[in-house]
Amino acid sequence: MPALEFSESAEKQFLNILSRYPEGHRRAALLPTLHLAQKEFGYMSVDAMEYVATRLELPPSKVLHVATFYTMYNKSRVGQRHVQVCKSISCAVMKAYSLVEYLEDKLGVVAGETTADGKFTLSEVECLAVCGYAPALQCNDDYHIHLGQPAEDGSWPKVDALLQEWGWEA
Amino acid sequence: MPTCTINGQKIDVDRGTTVLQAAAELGFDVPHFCYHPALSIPANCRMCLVEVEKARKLLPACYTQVTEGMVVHTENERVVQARRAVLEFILVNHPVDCPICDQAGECKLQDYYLDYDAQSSRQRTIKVTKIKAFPLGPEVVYDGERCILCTRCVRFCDEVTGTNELTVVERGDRSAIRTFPGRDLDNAYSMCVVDLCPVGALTSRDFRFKCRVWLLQSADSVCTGCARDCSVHLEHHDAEVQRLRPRYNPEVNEYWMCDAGRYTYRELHEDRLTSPLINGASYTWPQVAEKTADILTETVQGVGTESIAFVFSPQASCEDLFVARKFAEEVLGTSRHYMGGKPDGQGDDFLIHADKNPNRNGVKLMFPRGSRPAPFTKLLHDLESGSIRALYMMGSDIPLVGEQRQAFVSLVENLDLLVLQAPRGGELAAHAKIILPTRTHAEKEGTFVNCDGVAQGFGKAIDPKRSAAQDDWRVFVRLAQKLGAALPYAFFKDLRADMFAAMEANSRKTDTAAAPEAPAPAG
Ligand code: SF4
Ligand code: SF4
Ligand code: FES
Ligand code: FES
Repeated sequence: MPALEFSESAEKQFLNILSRYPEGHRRAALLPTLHLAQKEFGYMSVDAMEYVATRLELPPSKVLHVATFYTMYNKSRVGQRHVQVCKSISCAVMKAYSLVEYLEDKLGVVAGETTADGKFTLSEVECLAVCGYAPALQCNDDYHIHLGQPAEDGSWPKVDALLQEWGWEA
Repeated sequence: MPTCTINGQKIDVDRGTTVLQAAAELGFDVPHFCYHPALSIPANCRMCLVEVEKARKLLPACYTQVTEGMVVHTENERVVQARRAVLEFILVNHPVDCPICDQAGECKLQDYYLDYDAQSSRQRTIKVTKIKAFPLGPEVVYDGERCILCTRCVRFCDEVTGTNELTVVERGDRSAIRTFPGRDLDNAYSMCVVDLCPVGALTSRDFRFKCRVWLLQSADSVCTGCARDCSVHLEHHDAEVQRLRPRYNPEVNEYWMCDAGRYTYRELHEDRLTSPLINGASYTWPQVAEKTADILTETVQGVGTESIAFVFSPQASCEDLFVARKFAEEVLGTSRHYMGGKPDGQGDDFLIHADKNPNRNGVKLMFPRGSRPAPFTKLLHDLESGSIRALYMMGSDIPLVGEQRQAFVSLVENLDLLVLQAPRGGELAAHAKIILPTRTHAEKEGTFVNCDGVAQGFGKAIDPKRSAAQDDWRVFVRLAQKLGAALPYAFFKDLRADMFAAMEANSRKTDTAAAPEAPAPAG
């Protein structure tokens, strides 16, 4: 048996997800269940995928297939706040690359890493589908758009404000 | 029945026929990677694109069904250009390490490249590299760089074995075939994915780096691993069998065979008896026939014909068994017949049969109903009671296990005479006064009848290496001559004809071991 189990509230959500699909089509519930599992267990660990497979009565290999196909499912543990900066075309034009470097400096990690205290993970991602509001980033489930442009001294005031809000200390 | 025109030729096909199938019927081979007739059709490789008039884009021939009045071109300029483009894409990250690839020589990618692409690479960036030898399971090794992601291997595990071990992970140029972490590609048919893989991405641990495929010669043969008798290509080089591959036979095994069956070739070269022996001394065939005839005559005089037992091997061919029966009944004059062979093992509900002998039905069909060889346990019993003093055994297999087996071997020690006529020695060789080495099925022509009564001929692949091994039937004919009761066979084809006639006669009327083409029981 997999070592994990949904908490009581996650179990309720899971049953709710299942109820949206017709009987005998549990496979259709895979994407939302994986999201739920990610929330619940932090990332797509082998145990988490195995657990989802058991609950949806699917071969574990098919869960692996879907979980590794989508980049939104994290393959390793992330910090409390997962900061994902869009670097696709509109955001790139709006200096998203400098934004990533700025955040790297501030947080003391390179994109793809987690801070030593486990509070922040910084990632670069493809288009967040808010191109009209570039530059944009996503932190956990929240979007932050219209992040403005760097000041004379290279700082990003709106980003600094966000960092403060998130309890980041220099 | 829609009618379509392919490359100017008209053809009527059944509803649901694909363009690829219809083209094949007309003799046009549409190149393809992902399509396999026994698997579902994902149409993911795009190699089979063809032009269908009035369709804006080229269509995959493997998936597109023929509709009334369809006009198809499978070889025109536009199609050939598309094939070239598809190949160029597939080759973007392909390592082209054909010189060290086991598939080279039987690789679809190599063949199609030469047919349609044949240009030097226009790529100016570095290729994505991946792991070159990833073990997917005990038998199969995966090369991520060579994989073209056709998913044939994945579909085999999903649709044929239902074991679902494999999947595609990641996406884009990171995609690869994997099992779930901590699990293996480990089913009884796992090596079929090696045959299915159109490129050199999946290799069998057994055959990897063993022999270049263009050195292999192939004979149409039959697997001897169990009573299913899967049709195989028996492939050999330098008088040694290198591998077995399933040979398509819709009546028996379709496209598949089991992993254990693939390894049966090893036995063909192990523990072989190479020279006729009497009391450990080696003789030529004429000498040994002379002496054996004397010893047999003496034994018959000493203990009487009814104390001589004859064991028929369900590992032997029908032809050999046919002559064996004549030898036992007409020459030795004994009616004490027993069924030898290997002990039963595990079976499953797909191909693998619990009977590990290829020709039990063949043995049965050599005898009229009611006079078939008795089970081997009966022989054990008769040896214990002392009613048998001499034993003539075809094959060295003992269909007993554990204590019974030990009991049999020690009873054999006390016999007046043991004649062992077999390709391999086994544990009985030490107790045999006379050893007559014979050929394996790879070294001769013959016929086996499988568990469902399907008779299949197999061809000769190799000669025995540094060995005097003879066909069983020739040994019987030779001995019979010396014993003064000649068996009338000089040519295999005559004997085969007589054998089939006997089989036909013996299978008439209601019979569980239904013979091939046996007329249905009347009334
Ligand atoms: S390993 Fe072979 S069969 Fe499997 S997807 Fe790759 S190319 Fe196809
Ligand atoms: S199923 Fe039997 S006959 Fe077929 S390959 Fe396996 S052992 Fe050989
Ligand atoms: S490019 Fe950044 S949101 Fe689309
Ligand atoms: S064979 Fe038709 S798309 Fe692969």
